[in-house]
Amino acid sequence: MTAQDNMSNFRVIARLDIKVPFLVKGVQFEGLKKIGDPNEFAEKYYLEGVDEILFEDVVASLHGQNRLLEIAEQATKNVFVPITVGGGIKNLWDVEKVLKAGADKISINTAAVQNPDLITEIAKEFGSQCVTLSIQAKHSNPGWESLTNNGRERTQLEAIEWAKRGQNLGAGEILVTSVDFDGTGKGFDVELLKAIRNEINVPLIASGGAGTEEHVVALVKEAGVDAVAIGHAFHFGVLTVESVKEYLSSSGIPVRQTNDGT
Amino acid sequence: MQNVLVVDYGMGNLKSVQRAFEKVGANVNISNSPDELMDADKVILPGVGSFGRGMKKLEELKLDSALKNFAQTGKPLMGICLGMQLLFETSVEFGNQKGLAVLGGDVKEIPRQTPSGQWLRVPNVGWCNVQNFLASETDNPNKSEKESSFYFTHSFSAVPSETKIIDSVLDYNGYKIVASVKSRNIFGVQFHPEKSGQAGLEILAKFLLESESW
Repeated sequence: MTAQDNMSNFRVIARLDIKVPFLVKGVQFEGLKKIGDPNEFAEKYYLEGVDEILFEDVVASLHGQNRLLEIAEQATKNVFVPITVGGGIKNLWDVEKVLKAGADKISINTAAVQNPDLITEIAKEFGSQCVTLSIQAKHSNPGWESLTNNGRERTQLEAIEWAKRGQNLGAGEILVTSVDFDGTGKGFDVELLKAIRNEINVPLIASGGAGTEEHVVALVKEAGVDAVAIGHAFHFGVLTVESVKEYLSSSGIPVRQTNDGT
Repeated sequence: MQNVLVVDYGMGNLKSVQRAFEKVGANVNISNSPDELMDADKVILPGVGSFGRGMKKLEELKLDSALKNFAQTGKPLMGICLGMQLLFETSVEFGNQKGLAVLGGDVKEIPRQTPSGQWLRVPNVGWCNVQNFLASETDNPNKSEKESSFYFTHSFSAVPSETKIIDSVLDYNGYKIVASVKSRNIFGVQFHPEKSGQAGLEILAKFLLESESW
């Protein structure tokens, strides 16, 4: 079941990787380049009609967490769409702080791999809708391996199995980033996403690789994902929220319309 | 400037609700005090989480009786998401739960399969187009009423005992889910207006404006 089945609109999410206090972008998880103020970009995308904002702290140091919370809090002043915060979330206390700061959902990777029951604990305390399991998948003949610590560590965890397990443990959504395609602008790892789509019912968000509007349409039509998270392409103006939504819409994929003069 | 009180019972994204009301020009007081609630001009009951937990927290803080009394005063009361569900009589979430019974009807599960055999994705998470209920009930194919899209995240939805309180609905693969209700001084929305962009902010602004004459 996908967003195409007459239930909800396909979602376009802006992904903002953060090395506090900057918006950054890396390519294939190597090297980070400072781009600007995360809040400025978040507000810009919101005004352009983006459906959600995802802030990921890609360095996630202990002392950076407060700055990350400030960024989330600032976002609530002018961004009135769901906000997800991830990167370095280790326990229920971290989740509570993030939600109190104004985020609606958290994304979790490393800590969940280390302690899968944490997914269930968070879901029980705050609700499944607030837990997004983030999977960074890298091709590893055969199949794909999940990486943690922002793509720096291997786990031997098979990505598709892990996605399925994450759903069963209580994750409300699964966010899959292709380490191989991320930042390349060459398109998405459709095979990976198709394989995961077959195993899970909760919303599936694809991230990593958007370069053209057609990539996004192909993503929906071939892999049936529910949402796309775009970072690199938006930050560098390769794609805009409007161009992506327009293309999706004219390809028959329902998206939230915001160009109604309001 | 209008004053609203947002009920803090430990469940819900208070900050987002506060910011959204401030964005549309209201002065917001966040409180868990039954006395302050009774004194408020307008009350907003937010909520994210499960029904049973919500009622338990309201009861612990004696906000359940305060809300019932407030509803009787005729002053505007708005429920958001779980907050809207709590206004009804019962819910089947994790067993049979009693709500505030300020509105007639019950909260039921969104079925995974409809009577006509359609499969539904539960929970409903995402942006859905909402239509005015009366417009949706007519067979007029030339509906000029523009549909707005709002952000939903829920597995249960309210089934009012009187359809006359249904304000808008969402067509979920052929199954109608109640998106908003209005009865006298009570207004409820299943979606999150504070998370639904400009369209959501307009719902809040409309509530503030129209409730002046309720």
